[in-house]
Amino acid sequence: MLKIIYITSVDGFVMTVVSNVNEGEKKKSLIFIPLVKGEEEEPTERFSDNPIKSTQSICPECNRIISAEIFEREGKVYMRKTCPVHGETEELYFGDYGMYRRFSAYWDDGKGQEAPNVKMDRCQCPANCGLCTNHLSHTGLANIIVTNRCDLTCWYCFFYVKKGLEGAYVYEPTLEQIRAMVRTLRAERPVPGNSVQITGGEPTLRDDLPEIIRMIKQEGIDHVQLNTNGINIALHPELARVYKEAGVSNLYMSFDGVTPKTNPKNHWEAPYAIEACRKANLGVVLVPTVIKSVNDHEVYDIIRFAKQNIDVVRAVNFQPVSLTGRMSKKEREKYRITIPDVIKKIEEQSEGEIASSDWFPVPSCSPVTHFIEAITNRKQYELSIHFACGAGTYVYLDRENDRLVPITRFVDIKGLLEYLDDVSEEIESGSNKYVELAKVALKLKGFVDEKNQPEGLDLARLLFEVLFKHDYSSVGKFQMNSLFLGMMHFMDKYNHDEERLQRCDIHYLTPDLRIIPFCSFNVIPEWYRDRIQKKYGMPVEQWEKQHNEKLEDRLYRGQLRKEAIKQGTGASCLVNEMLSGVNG
Amino acid sequence: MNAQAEYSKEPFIRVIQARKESAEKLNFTVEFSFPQNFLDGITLENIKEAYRNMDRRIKLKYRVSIYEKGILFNKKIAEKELSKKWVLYWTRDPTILERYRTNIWVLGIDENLESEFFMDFEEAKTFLFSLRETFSVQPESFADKGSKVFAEIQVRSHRHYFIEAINSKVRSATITIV
Repeated sequence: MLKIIYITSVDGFVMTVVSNVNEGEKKKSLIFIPLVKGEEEEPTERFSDNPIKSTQSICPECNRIISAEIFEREGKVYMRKTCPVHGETEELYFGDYGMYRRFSAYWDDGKGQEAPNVKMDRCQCPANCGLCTNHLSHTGLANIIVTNRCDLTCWYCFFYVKKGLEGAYVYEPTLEQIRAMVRTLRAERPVPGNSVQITGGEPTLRDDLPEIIRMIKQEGIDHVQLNTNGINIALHPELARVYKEAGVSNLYMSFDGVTPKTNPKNHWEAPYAIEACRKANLGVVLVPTVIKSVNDHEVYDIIRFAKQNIDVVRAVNFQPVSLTGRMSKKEREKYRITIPDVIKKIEEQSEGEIASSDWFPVPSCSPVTHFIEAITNRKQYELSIHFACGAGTYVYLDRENDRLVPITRFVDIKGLLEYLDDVSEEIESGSNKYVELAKVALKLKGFVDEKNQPEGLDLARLLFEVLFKHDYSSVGKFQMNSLFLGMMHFMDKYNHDEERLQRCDIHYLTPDLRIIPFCSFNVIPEWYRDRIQKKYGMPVEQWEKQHNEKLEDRLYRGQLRKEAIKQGTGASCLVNEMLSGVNG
Repeated sequence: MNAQAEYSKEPFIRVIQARKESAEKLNFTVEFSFPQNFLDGITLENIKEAYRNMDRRIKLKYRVSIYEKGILFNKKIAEKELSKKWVLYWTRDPTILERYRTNIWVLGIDENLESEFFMDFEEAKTFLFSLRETFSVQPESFADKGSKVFAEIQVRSHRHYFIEAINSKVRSATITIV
């Protein structure tokens, strides 16, 4: 029986495969759906379409660069494009037109590349990424894949090396290759990269990981984030301290739900990993990949789980799913969820505790950057991604009422951002910097409603430090006092928008010393990821011989699950415990 | 490049309507625009150059006031502050690329901090450099039917690559309430 199944990975991708197995015979082979020419979408009725703008995209089948129309229909924003060979594709682009208009008002192109690795006369995104002359954002977060080995064999994952598959390569850059990559990042101008995510596969499988972390820190990187499923840390809690001492700033841990069904990957292990981090004083960011009809009913429960661990969980970064591979329109409609949809789900499930209006797009941080640039006269780190790529808000724990209070309930964020923009303009047009600074210092408190501020919090003071000290530690202090809720929607071939790609600031560092935007690297793997891993990797057999180790030796065999089930320490048990506490 | 020199000579402002809708409601509509020669001075070449020079946000603040004309003093009866913004950005819109041969384009941000996407450059200029605003006020503020009113608009903007700093007031002709 052929059955279409969604598949997901830690990076928020879903790939469709067809399983040619009967129910209950899951272990048989999976067949990737071939690119079928001629299986076209049904034409959509267009009379109610309200055009917004046009952009460029790619054909999901042949990667040809084509024009795409962004339009509104019944309060939602869609993308429509037509490939001369493969026909029309229509895709949900942004689930709320009102939010699209509000978010797009924070549009802010970044400073671009002063020292590009690839020189291009004109934009050819997504081809020739490197970063090129026309890329508009510096690197906000640079991913380094230290291995593509994994201790899990999630049947759906496309990222880890699968033994037995023809052309399977183990990709593990050497320490010197990684050093060269980091130096490439540091050579970015006008803003040298200062934030790295170590990723995989499962990076903790590398025994020299502490050495890699130390080297990255020595090369001048402020922020080192470790992307992991947490299982190795749950098994060996001392690793949390080892990584922390080596220089890791926080874990970036996959966490797709609060039940074993929605989070089969690490439901039982995550609480152990969190406990290890708590003891090591190492912050954790929970990373749920949100898929409509699969785990979107648990988005607020995930936040509640984070709230329960707010002493160690610094953020929840939701990733609406990216649908890679070939997928029919019907399937895409079933699983597709966008940033506004997740935001609305949170609002519904939290009964307004965290509302849609509490969220701002990522580039809304730009006025803060502009202000600091105006007072320092130096170009600063900036989050200048496209407004449709990410959103966020800060929430604070009101311990008295055991509620989360979004920052917007006691800070006039919109007013503050507008004011900072005005002050930056004043300074840039020649006003006395010190007079303007004094005005800001006096006025800052006016944006904070102290009466509604959770007890024990002095947000005006924290804001003052961010604006006037503007260093890594003051930003860290601001973060430590809150729980950051974020959204990052990586693209796929169906909703690929070259205006978004051109502004991407989450990049991959590669051994050929290029810096490649996430949504090129992973969305068109045949041009980037697969090519690089083949070129710089080695066949599995060669790796096993060289390391005197079998790939499967390091697989996780579920040791912790039995114990956790017996003791009732899975994430769902903790949430249930918390809920019964609240209800009781 | 610099259209500023011309603009203060003939800015266009008028109160196009001052009508008593009911016993409770009196409506005024005010229209304002910069003179055509000022608008003609703003070209896509200016925009490109401003973008290259990192001058990418052009904000105009408008203060619109309605006065009742008095013998000795004029009485302010309504006032609104508004701001409008252009954000210059690199577009990948093929229709703009084809029509205007430019990849630097403008996004309008209205006073509610919501975006306006334009396909036409003149439309974008009209958005930022003109205003049509309606006021509703209580008629008790006035002495009687037949009162004379006028509008005043103050416009402010910082200096930008293609316009000098703006800080000026213009006043409409006086009209009589009907």
